[in-house]
Amino acid sequence: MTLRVCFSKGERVCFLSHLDLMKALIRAMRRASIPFAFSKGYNPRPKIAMGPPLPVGITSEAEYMDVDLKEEVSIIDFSKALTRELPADLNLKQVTPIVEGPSLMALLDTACYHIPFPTQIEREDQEERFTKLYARGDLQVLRRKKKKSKTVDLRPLIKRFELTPLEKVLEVKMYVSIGNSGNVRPQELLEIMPKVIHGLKRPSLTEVKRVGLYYEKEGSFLTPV
Amino acid sequence: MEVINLSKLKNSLIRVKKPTRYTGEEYNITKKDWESVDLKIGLIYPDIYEVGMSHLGLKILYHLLNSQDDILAERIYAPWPDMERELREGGMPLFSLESKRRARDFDILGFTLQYELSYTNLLNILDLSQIPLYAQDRDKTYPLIMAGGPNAFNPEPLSPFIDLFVIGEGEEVILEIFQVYRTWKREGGGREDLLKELGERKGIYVPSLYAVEEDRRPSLSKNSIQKRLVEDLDGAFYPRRFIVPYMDIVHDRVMLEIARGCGRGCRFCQAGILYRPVRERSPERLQEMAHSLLSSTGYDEISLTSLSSSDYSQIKKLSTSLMDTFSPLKVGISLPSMRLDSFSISLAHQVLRVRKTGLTFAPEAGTQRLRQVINKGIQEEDLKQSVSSAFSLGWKSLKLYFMIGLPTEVEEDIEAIARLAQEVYSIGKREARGGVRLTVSIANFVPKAHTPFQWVPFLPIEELDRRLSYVKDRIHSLKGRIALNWHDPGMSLVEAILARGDRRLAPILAQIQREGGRFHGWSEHFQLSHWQKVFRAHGMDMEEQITREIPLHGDLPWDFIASGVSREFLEGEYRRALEQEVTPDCREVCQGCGVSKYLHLFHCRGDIL
Repeated sequence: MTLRVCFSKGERVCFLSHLDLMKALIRAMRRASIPFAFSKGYNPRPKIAMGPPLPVGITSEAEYMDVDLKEEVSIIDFSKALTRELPADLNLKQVTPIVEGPSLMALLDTACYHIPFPTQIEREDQEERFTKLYARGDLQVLRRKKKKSKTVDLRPLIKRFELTPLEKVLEVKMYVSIGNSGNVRPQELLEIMPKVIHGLKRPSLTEVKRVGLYYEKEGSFLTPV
Repeated sequence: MEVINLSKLKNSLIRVKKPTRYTGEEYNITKKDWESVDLKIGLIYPDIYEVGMSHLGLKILYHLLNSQDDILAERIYAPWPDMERELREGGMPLFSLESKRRARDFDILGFTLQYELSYTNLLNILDLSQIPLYAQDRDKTYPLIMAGGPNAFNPEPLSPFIDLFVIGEGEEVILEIFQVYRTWKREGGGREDLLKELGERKGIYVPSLYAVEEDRRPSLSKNSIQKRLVEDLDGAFYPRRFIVPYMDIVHDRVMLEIARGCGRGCRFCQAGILYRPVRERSPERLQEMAHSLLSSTGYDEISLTSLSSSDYSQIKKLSTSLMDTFSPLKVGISLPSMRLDSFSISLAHQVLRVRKTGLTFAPEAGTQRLRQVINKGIQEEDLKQSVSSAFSLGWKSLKLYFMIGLPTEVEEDIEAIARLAQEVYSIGKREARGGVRLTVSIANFVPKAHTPFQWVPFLPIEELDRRLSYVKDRIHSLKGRIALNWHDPGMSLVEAILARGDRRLAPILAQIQREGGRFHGWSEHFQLSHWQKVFRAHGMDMEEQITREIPLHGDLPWDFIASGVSREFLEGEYRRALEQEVTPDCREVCQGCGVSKYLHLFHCRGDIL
C-alpha cells in the first residue's frame, strides 16, 4: 500500500535541508510505529520517495512524500499516529492512498511561490506598473555551475502570476516551472523582479513561501492528490 | 532580559553554513516559561553543535535538570566562525537554543571540559556572551560559571576564569548545587556567601576561596577535593528520551550507557582512572531503557556505550535480548569500544546481524614488549586470530589504532606498527572474499594527570615529527589499500601542556582568545605558531614546560584533587611499566587502587559491581 502524504513546513523547521527533512519524517514515522516497507539488501532503508526539494530558509504550505507500507492501514489511524509524532511546524495536511502512476518527481512540474515585495509604489498603481514593465522586461539570469556560466531566460519558465496589491507591499504569487523541463529558483525571482519592475525591493528569502506544487494539465494546475 | 531579535537572526542563518546548528526546535527539547521558572542554567559544550549534541553527560544533565519543576536547562554550543562573525557584526550576544535568551541572562552557565583544546572555545563563549573572562571581574549580576568533566581533574589552567569546578560525576552533585543556590537566592546574600557555602560541599572546588602560593598553586593540602561518583548506576537517573537533531551529528543514535568505568588499567588512559570503579546497569533496566529511548526518538541504531563494552559482564545476554526485540524493527546495534579477542568478534558477529559496519581495534603499540609497558595485555597471536575470524565472518573494513611517543619506545616498536598493519592486511586478503580496507590511525601519546604516566615527559616535537614520518614512510610503502591517519604533533604538544599545566597558562589562554584563537581541536583553525608566539611573549618556552621528566616525589598541580586512586598505586604502576610487568584487570584480582574507599553502598568487585 502506498500513501501520498501532504504536509506543511513552517518557520521553525524552514532551515532543514531536503535530507534533514526526510530523516525527520522517517524518525517521526518510526516513533508512530508506521509499518513502512524496507528496501531489500545489505542496508535496508524505508521505501519513501520525496517530492521536489524546497530551498533552505523558505516555508511551504504543501510538500509531498510517498510512503510504501508493508501492510494495509486505515488513513485515519495513520494520520492520527503521525500527527502526534511530527516535530513542531511540520504539519500533516492530507493523506491519500495512491494506486499507481508516475512518481512525485516525475509528475510535478510547477511550483507556486508567494513573494511579498516591499514597494513605494501606490497601491492602486501597482498592478498596472507590474504588468506593463513585466511585459517588456529582460528576464535573463546568469547561472554559474563551477567555472561555466550560462544565461537562462526565465520568461518561458514563469507560467502565471497573481498580484495582490497592499500598502507598501506587492504580494506576487508566481507559478514557475520546476524539474527537468526547466527549473526556476525562488532566489532568481527575488533577484530579477526588482530589476525589471522598478520600485520593487528585494525581500529576504525567509519571507518567501511555497504555496503549492502542481502538475500542469490542459492549462490548469492540479495537485498530486 | 532580552530575547534575540528573531528576524535579524533569520537573516544571519540564511548566510551561514548548516543553520540548524543554531535554530533549536528539535524533537524532545524542553521549553519552559522563562518568567515562571526560578532557576535557569545554560549547559554548554565548548565546541560545535554536532560534537556537543553527541555528548552523553550533558544529555543526562539536561533531562535530569529539566525533570525538576523549578529548574530550566537549555543548551548552548560554540558557534562556528561564520556564525561568530554574524553575531559580532550584528551586535548579537550568544544565545541558548531553546528560548533564544542571552547566555548572560542565565543564573548558572555550566561548561563540560572534555578535551584541552576546547579551552579557548570556552573563553570565546564567555566573550561572545559579553561576560568578563576572569572570575574576579564578575559581580553577582553575571551568571555563576561552573565547569566539570574529566579535564576538571586538573582545573588549574582554567581556575582564574571559573567560579566553581565539579570534580567527578555531575548527576551526583548538580541537584545539590541547585539546592544551595535556591536557598542563597531566596535569602539574598553576596556572591562570596554562595561560593563559600558551595565550596564546603564534597567534590566542589572554588578557586577564589584559596590563597595562591608562591608556586602559583592554591593553598590546599593533598587530596582535599574528592571526586563525586554515582554508586548505584542501575538506580541512577537516565533520560527516557533524547533530543533528536535535524542535522547529522557525530553520534547520531541512541546511546545506552551499559557500564561506567573500566578495570583493564591501561597505563596511559585517564578515563580508566577517573571513572573508577567499574559499575554496571542490569540487563533488565537496559532493556527497558532501550525500549523507551528507541520509541521516543525514532532512531534506528542503538550503541552499547561504555569504556569497554565487551567487558560488560552480561553482554551476551543483553545483546541477544536486544537483538530479539529490536532487529525485527530494523534497529542496528553497535558496540563502539571492543577488545580484540575472539569473544568480542563472535559477539559482534551476532550483534551486527542487521548491519555490518567497520570494526575498530586498538592494539596501541606494535610490539609485545611495549604493550606490556602500557598494560594493553593483548597477545599478537590472539590479535591475528581475531582479525582472521573477523574477515572470514564478513567484515571488509577494519581500523587499527596505535600511539607513538610512548614511554620506553624505540625504533623497533615503530617498525612493528607497520609490520602488524601489513600482516593484518595480508590476513584480510586471504580470509575475506573480495577486497578489504584497512585504516591505520596514529595518535601521539600525551601524558595525562592522575595516570601512572603522569610523570612521563612528552617528546620534543622534532622527535615526535621524526617518529611520525618514519611510521608514515613505512606504512605508505606497504602494498595494498591501507589508509593512514595521524594527529598533528603540534596539537598534541598544546594538549600536553594544558593537560598538566598550572595557573600560569591562564593569561596565555586569554591572550590567544583575544587574538582570535578558537576551535583548536580543528586542524583548519589550529596554528602552532600562534601558541609559540604567545608563550614567548609570556617568557615561557612551550617545550621546556613538558619535555622533562617530573620526579616521582615532586609536587603536581593537581595534587589537591583526589580521583580516588592513590598516589602509591600510580607510582607502583609506573614502576611496573618500566619493568614491563602486566597488571591484571582489577575485576579479576583487586589491585588496591584505593577507590573502594569511596564506596559505601556497594563493593567494588563481585556480581553487584
